[in-house]
Amino acid sequence: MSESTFMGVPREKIDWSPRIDYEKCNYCMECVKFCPHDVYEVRENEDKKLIVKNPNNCVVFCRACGKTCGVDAISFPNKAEVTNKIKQLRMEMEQNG
Amino acid sequence: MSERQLPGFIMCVCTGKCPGFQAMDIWDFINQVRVELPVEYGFIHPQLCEEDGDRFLADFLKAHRKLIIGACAPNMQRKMFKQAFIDAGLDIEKDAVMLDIRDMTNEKAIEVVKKALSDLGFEEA
Repeated sequence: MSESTFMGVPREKIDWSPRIDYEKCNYCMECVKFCPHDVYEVRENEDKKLIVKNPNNCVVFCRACGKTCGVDAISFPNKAEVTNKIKQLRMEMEQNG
Repeated sequence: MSERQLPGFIMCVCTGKCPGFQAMDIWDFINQVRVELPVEYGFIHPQLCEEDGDRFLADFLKAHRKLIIGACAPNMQRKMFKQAFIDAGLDIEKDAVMLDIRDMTNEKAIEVVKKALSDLGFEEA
């Protein structure tokens, strides 16, 4: 199964990953427990005990980790905007052969 | 819901790009489930937890057939699909069996599905 593209566009060109609202996050780590893709990294000894370490490991359009968050501290980019960007990138790739 | 009716099987593959299914040939897996196991049908849905997945479930659950869902963590499935079952007049705890089949080979995932079917009283012919 190819991991390098999504809808015909290289994964690294697509801005899709979780955003953590540190004002809300209570570091329960439910998101980390759910996500098997090493998107997050726990940093116990730092102020921000959780960071998005590998954003491009996030499955495009997956928002499941955000649904585990009891305090609604995780958000994602606007899906419609990302979809339009993917279409635009694909058109550019087609035009460039 | 009739207990004698064979369950349906849905595999959800998180867009098909989730590395959790890398160890598996998903097409061999679903073909083995739908052809060999005691299910009414089996198929792959790309992403049940997105808006179109909600719309799909709203239509699909009208059949009121027991479902086995092979996908990600059951606690997540419960959270993501519970309302769709309620809206269809069903109870996800009684009317669905939620399995995590990520990070498994075909053989292991088939065993997990077989066990779920056996627990429901359906044995392979």
